[in-house]
Amino acid sequence: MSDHDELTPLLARPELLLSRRSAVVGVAATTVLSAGTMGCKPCFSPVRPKPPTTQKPGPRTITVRLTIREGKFRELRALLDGDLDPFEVPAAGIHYARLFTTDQRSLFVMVIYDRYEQSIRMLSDNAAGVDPIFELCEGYPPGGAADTPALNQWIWDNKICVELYYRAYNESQPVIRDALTLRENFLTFLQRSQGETGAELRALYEPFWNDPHLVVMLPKLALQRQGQKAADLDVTSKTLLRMEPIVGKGRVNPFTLLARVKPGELRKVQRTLRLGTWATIDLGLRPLENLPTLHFARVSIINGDQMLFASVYDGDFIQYVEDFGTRIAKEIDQVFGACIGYPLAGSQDVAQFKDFLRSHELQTNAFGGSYLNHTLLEIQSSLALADELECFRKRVDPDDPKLRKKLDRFLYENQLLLT
Amino acid sequence: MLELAQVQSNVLRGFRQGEAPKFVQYLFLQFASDRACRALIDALYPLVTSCEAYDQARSGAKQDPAKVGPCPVAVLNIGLSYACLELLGLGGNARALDERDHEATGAIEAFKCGMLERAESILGDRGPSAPEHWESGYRERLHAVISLASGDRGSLDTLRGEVDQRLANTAGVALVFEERGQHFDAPLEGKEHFGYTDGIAQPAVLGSGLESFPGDGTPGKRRGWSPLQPGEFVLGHIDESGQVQFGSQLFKNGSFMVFRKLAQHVARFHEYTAEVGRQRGESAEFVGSKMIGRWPSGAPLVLSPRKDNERLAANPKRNNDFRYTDDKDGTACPFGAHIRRNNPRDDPSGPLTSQTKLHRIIRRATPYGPFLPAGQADDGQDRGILFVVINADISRQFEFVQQNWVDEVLSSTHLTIPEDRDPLIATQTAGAKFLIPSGKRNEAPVIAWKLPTFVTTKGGAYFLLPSIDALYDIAKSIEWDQEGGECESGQPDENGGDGCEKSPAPAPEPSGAPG
Ligand code: HEM
Repeated sequence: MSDHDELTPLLARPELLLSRRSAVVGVAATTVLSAGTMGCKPCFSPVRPKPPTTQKPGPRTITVRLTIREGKFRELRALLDGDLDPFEVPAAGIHYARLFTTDQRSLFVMVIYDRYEQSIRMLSDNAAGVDPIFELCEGYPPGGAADTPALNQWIWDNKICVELYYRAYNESQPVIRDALTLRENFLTFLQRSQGETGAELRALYEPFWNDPHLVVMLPKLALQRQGQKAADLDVTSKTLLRMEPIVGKGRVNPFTLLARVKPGELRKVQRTLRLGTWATIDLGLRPLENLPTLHFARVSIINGDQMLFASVYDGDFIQYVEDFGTRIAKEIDQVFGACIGYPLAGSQDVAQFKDFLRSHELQTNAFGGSYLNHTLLEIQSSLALADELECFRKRVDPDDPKLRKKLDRFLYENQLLLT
Repeated sequence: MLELAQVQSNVLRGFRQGEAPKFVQYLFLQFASDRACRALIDALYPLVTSCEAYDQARSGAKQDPAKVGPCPVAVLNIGLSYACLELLGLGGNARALDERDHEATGAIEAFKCGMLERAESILGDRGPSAPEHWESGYRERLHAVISLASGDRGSLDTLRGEVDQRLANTAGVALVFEERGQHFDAPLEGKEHFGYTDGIAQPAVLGSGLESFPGDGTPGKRRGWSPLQPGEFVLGHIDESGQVQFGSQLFKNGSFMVFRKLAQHVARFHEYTAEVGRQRGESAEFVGSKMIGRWPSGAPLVLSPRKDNERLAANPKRNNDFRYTDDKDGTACPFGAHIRRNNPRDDPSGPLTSQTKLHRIIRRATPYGPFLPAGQADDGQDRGILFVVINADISRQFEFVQQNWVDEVLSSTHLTIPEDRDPLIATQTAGAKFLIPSGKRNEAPVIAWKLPTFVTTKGGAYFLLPSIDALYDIAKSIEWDQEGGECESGQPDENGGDGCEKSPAPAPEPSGAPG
């Protein structure tokens, strides 16, 4: 944070923030929404600087809508479809990021970050990658992304309101990364110490006990788990955020959807989204939690009557769709049901629902994340295991005469986190 | 009741426990032209067995067709690949594949692409299972498969003689290669190569005319089980999502058949399970059973957690009547066990039952190659199973299971199996493991490290099993009209009216996305 202190004064000027926001909304939807009446009350993007005590920790999101300069769309698409890796330089504190276009004039950037400054930093560190893309958009600072204050202002000016923001975990990116490493290391320790007792067990436990995050425990084994390429393993390579073109199915995938809201339904949907009956991070009612494959979801309204839905999910699209239709059918119908083309029978008609999603899906041109090889369940069980291990390490030191017994007991109690 | 005279017998007959035909042959063909194809179907048509014919044979042999029993005759079935439909002019945008049948649902996509193309991207056929290592025949553009099956060798040989003659008499037909499978003799009958009884759990199908067993359907609220809708296995009928897909003449009353040749590494399996067992004072059988979810006899672990139970296994009313809510923590049957992954039933930590019922398959597995008893070194012989799946939507059923439940993490579960694959049949990667939860207080679970790959794919293909009428129409070059139905005026429409009236194609939704 220290090297980005110059950003703070800007963030602390909410009036600047507000005026831009109404302007952005105003252009798009003067008739429907005026900043004065409905405003952006539960707007989760980006974090309004709050005193550190009240600000909930955990991943936040920003959605930026950039206007592509007239006639530059094809050039931009060619860039995005080409070999250019806009986010080659590793970035700290970034969970996921994506780029996509909705039409010939709009390029969207979505980032899920721990601290807002980190997303600006990620962009400026990647000036070489993002400049060629952003230069095709209006108002891009002449100094490019290297000019951090100007970049910050530009991003800030172009951000749009997020009506709904859902996240499945509250931990920061380094915490998650560490938990994943820890789990890996612990499994390595278990494998090596299988059947060992006494001095041998002690000798194996000691280095783990001293520094459970030590990556050198058995780097080779760690590297080969799941047959990952070295670069895929965020823990060993320093690649924290890896952008890649969307080819085929990965473990973690982006989904982006744009659908028109039926005339007259907009306010109702917005109310649903904002009231928190659907899902907010502040209220207890969170139907989206019932989706065991959903990492993040966001909804914005753009152009006055279009719903922009973006999520990060695990595995197979069909499974994801079914989860919607079977686990939270009612809630999803409430929100997407306001869109033109939504199946009459709702999301329970899986085939029709899938068609609806597929036909309104937008191509995500670039997608990157810090743990593209780790499912939500893996992240959650790693976090839980990390907590348990921390307690265990405090309780049981290598000289404990009952080490084996206590370890076995620990394994018994936490066996579901190890599978 | 389904139109059993229209459905080929290998769709809905002879798959329940104890019914599997002892001898099977699969003949893979290529045609030089559509004429050759039609001529061969014409020649074989009289030999094709329908479910009804199958039942009649059973009645003739004084068997109740509904009850379980072996088939007294040799049966013949024909499957056609998408390449064959193209050859016949029925592929692509051709009339028979009307919009309702594919673009709208995507269900036809898998069949169109074929298994070869989807092996790596979807089915997880990597490394030694990768298509470049498949047996050469499976890398050809295959057009058709003739399946022959019988309970006794004599009748199969006779039928095969007939088929060979007709093949020889039809110009432009090439028998590219064939597979032969055979169930083992007593006392190994019903077992697969690893030594475990196979073919017990199968879906119960509404309208199939078969008696079903508790456990075969979808678990209901109480202890009951409800059969699956026929459209899950027979095209053109209502399915579990309340839809009727594939209503056109080419598809109606047909089904899709998935063929996989799966080699089993038997010595490796026995050595590994023994090794893991040794470390914890357990038998190889214990470890193997935990991987599968059933004991060698077939008794399910959920009902008999501690030891095998042959009496339970022998009782078809009980041997499949179990639920995973009775084993919530997986201490009887591990979450990762083959049968728990491939049909999670009502597993509270798995997908919902309303999801699981969309992914059921009918299986027919016949061993090939000689049996290798436990304890014997690898003899270098090829052995495994000829694995056949019957389903109405290859991508939603077989491929989904293979992709999401066998080859991937079970992502629809809570805090289980974040990274392990099916221990029995998946292609494992370095670092793969299998966890056997411990049921004894304060005793550590068994973790089977460095899990090797026990099953390798040798090849496979997707086929359509057309209805008896569709085969006839193809043989006789009868054209279906645009509406997907063969509608000569004045002829009553037997198919409940959906043959002729073209339901207006749904208007394309105005998409919010420009371009
Ligand atoms: C060499 C390969 C395979 C072997 C040795 C094998 C073995 C077995 C055995 C012993 C059973 C328990 C008996 C029973 O419940 O019927 C079983 C059940 C089952 N297998 Fe496999 N199998 C193999 C491949 C596959 C494949 C490729 C799939 C699916 C893609 C599959 C899906 C199933 C299903 C769905 C069940 C029934 C589960 C239930 O309903 O409870 N199997 N298999």
